[in-house]
Amino acid sequence: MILKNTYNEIIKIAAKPRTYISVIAITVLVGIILFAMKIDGQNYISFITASFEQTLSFEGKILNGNLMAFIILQMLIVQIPLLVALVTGDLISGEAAMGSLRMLLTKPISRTGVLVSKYMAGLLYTLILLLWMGVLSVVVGKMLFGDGDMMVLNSDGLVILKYNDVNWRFITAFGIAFLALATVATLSIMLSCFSENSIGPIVTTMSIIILFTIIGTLDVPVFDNIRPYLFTTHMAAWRSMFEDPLPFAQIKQSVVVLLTHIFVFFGIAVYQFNKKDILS
Amino acid sequence: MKLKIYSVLILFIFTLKLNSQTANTIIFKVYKKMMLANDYSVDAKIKSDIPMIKILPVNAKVYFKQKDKFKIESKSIAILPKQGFSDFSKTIKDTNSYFAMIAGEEMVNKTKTMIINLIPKMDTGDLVLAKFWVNKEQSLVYKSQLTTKSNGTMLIDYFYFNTEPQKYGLPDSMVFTVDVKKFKIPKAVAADLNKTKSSNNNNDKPVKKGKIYIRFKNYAINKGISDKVFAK
Repeated sequence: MILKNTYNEIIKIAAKPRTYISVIAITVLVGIILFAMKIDGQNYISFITASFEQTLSFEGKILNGNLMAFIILQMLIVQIPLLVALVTGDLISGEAAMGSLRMLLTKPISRTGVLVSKYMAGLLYTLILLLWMGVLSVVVGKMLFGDGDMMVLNSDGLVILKYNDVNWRFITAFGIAFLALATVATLSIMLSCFSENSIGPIVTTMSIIILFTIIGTLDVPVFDNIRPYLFTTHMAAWRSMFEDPLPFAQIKQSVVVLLTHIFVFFGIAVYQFNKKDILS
Repeated sequence: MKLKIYSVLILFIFTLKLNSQTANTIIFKVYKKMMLANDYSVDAKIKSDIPMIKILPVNAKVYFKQKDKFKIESKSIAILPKQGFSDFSKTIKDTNSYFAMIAGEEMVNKTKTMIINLIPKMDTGDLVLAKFWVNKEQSLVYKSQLTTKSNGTMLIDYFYFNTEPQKYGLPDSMVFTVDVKKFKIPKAVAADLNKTKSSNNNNDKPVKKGKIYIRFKNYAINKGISDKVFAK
């Protein structure tokens, strides 16, 4: 029953025009970045390596598909949560606003079952969005710029990874990025359970992300104790997959924090949805 | 008294001239030896130990053709010194552009060498001072130090194991020691937004030393290399 209901929820998501806004937005954004890099990528690379190039020279193909995929990922990962929340924040509250939630709950499926179905459909949407971004950045990036060693840009240095050591890192990085986006999706679904309109959960989700990101970025000692527990601190944990050696403890901590948030948010969502008084 | 002063002065100038002539002769012998290799290709294994850069050893192919055609071919990204490969011959080929002076003797890798300083006659060029540790008998450079206005100081150690490349003054291994200035990527480019504290505390030092180790194998000398190889 849950699977059948999940299928119905997927169809509902697919039928909404706003679902395609995200796909189109990602396609356009990635397209613009790839075009700009194809035209002016060398200058961008020179800007990064300038401080070394007085004494050192970099031989080989630096501007390649792997670097492009990394640049695209780190540029867009800030915007993707908004695109995710745009759909997942509407899953419960949208139906409540339209008045179809009461009818939906007359079906022979528990409220938790309905929520699980919607949640699974929301996660599938998130996964498709991320995979689409992956295809555009990694596959199209490699088609346009070719393969090669990957230069990873960190604020405290450069890591150059061998081309044959990159694909598994991308797959794992996408896995961690999915976990981060799933946290955002769960947060917005949780907020959606509290709301009767679609805009509220979407705006609240983004506000929480912005607030937590600012707290995480501010180098003020008063936030030192809470920073490691904010899910936004771990949203860029996928980047750790491109470090050498891999910071296993850091990755493990990020995965644990993100999973904990997912369970807590989903637990609150189940509790709220089950005791929600549905009036329309 | 005057005669004494003149005699000392003449003797000093004569010694200086003799010293310069000897230094020029040694340097010219090294240059002549290097000119025996009209072209060469060689496999190179490059290992870089540069502060703030993590990179695994890289295999490359090096091509050289007289007078100054030089190319490094590698499938991987390789980090190399900006100068130092063909700079020796470039620096010493115009003997009128510098003063050569013997500055003493020193043992380098258990080999007796003469330290020869090259000071440019004009101060408009990039080179400030070139220092070479040369074994007079073998006419081989064992160490060099190039100080330029644009790139700072670079120290190069040369190692010779095989006799065949030695005939052409070509080393089997080179170690470059370079100055690396403080490196900082803007956070917007690195997108390391949540990283509030740098993990690399060494960043505080403005200039650090980096080393690049290059091991050469399979020299193919004077076999002929097409100019197309050097075309980009």
